[in-house]
Amino acid sequence: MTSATDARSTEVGARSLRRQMRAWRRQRADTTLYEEVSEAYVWVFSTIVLGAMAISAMVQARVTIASGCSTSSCTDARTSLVWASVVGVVAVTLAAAQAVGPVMVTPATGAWLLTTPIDRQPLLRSRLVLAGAVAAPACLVTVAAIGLLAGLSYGSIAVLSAIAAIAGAGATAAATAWQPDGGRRTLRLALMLGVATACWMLLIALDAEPPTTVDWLTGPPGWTILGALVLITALLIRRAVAGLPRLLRAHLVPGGSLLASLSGALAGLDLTLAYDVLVARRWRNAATVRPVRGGPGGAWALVWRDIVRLRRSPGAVATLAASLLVPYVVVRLGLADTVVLASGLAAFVGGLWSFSALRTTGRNPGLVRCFPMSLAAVRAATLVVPGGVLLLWSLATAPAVGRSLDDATATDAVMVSVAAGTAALAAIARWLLAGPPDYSQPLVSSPAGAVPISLIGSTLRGFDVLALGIVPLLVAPDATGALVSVALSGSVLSYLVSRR
Amino acid sequence: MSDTTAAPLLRVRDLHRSFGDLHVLTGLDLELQSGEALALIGPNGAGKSTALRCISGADQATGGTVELDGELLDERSAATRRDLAVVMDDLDFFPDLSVLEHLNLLARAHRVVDADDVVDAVLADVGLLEQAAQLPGTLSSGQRRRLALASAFVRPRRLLILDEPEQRLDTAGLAWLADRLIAEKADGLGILLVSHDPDLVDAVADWVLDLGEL
Repeated sequence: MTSATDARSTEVGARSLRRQMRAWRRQRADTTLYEEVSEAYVWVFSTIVLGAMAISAMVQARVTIASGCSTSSCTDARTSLVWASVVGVVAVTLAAAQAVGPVMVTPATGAWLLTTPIDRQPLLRSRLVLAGAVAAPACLVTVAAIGLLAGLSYGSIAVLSAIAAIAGAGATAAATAWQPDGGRRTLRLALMLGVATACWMLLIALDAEPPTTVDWLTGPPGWTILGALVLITALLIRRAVAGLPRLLRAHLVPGGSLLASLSGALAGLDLTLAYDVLVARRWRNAATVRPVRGGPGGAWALVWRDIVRLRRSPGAVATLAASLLVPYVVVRLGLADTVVLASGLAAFVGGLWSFSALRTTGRNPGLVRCFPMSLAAVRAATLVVPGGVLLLWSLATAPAVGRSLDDATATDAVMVSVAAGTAALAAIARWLLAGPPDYSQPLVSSPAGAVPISLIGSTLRGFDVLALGIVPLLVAPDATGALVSVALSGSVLSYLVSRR
Repeated sequence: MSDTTAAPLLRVRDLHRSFGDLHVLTGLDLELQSGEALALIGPNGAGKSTALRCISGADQATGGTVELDGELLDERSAATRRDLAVVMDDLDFFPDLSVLEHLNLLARAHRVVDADDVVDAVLADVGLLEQAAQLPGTLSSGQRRRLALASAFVRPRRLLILDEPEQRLDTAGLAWLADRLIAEKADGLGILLVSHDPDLVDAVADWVLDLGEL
């Protein structure tokens, strides 16, 4: 039996535990300090070289993009877009923070450390710092890249990026402060800011955005805003730190589990597995639904279920609807040459979330075996509803595509739009029906160890088929190019559907 | 396996399955009539699940034939899928459809008459009425097993293939399963199962094939 006095005497601090763990790790170190320094040198050198190449490419792109934007309407739209992107990155930061915690621990830490009588606050404080340290640079880089491409002055880019970084850190702190309550307020705020960003984009697309400027940012008003944001963020961080002891293990471990699953999928470059993880998590959190009975028979039962599924997934529909703005905004930004490509990419990324039934049946032979029809029939049935929605989506982009084409008839615009949508549909099918990496294949050496050859191309999967369908439209943006594109995408799609 | 002269519901002849130099199945023969149950038993690694996978078409045998009603079994054909109900470990679920909706989808896909009534009856039978609105991700492992079994009972079938159906079921669930399988036999179904539960095998199986002794 352990008395209360004995229990108190066993209390240990996080610092001593960390010291102990560091000692263990040092005992088991299998690399020398020299090897570590050499490896760090390679990483730092690679980061600098790749970063310099990326910045150089963006500066070049900035010059090219600027040449197509000579009207005040176009420059106004670009300035407005950068402001909207600041709101957008804060919304995304909040949503991501709510999904992972933002303060979280790995399942191992949850099971082994948090069950001991340690003082949790120092441990959790470091996690809060980590979350902020990830969010702030991510917001900074995103807004800086958009500002750079939009042609803003370097001074304005610096101040706007700093605003985004501080706002990102503040958003993380706010999400931490609300974490003990389940993060509902975080999600609500993220949703509000996301809707605000979408509305802003809509106004840009309609040439009705509120007038925005950035020149004043490099003067005292800009510094005042920065100072105020720093103050607010400091207060939010203080509040977040004070709330850390209120966090339960149940608030901390799910985010760590999610990150562990996602990092496992991403480490294997298996992006579709990451998709599965996110979809499974979304529905596990929902727990129950109102069951819907009825429906037709045969393969149409699967089609009917997709209609139910679509009604049940407002997030997926909203994502697809929001992505509809992309081609219109791109036209407004004076980037007419890229509208078809942007349209295909937006349909691909925005449409993915409506095809979960195709993915589930694609990776689940046991489930497909339950249906009294062929694998191809099951796959085709799961394509009907989301494919139809994507077709409507592509028809809705026809005005934007038409504006981007020289001397195009209405028929050309519609056919090119539908062809871009079909290319996106084939790309989605290619992406979702991909198998896991096959480690029985020959392996090639890489800095990350031996990897199967197929793994290297897995990040391009989907984009390859999209390029196949989009290239004919870029070469011949008319009815002929559209017919060639649809024929190519259709062939790929029918192969993917019938492939065992 | 049967001494009747009627054409067997399932006939397996000289089934082979090898993985490189590892020969898991080396000439398995069996026959099963309608209304009979055959249990495959044996130690881990004896090839029981591999045999089920090859017979159901989930895996491709390296040799031998599998006939259903005298026709070569082709799991791609719609007729085979209508007759064959298979519950193995590779059965997963749609993350966004409830328990009831899974069964409703299968019943409708198989064009079951009075699908809603059949679904309700099966839900009650497998003890998942209270979980009808739940999504699969929130079910316990035992409840997921019951849903997997329900997916076989909600649709028309002539041959049931079950891989360790007793897994993760509680004591009451095991008793229910034995009764249900006996009732299935009485309805004229053939049952081929792999099991490590001697009580279930004793209660259900007319024939027992020990793959560890082959």
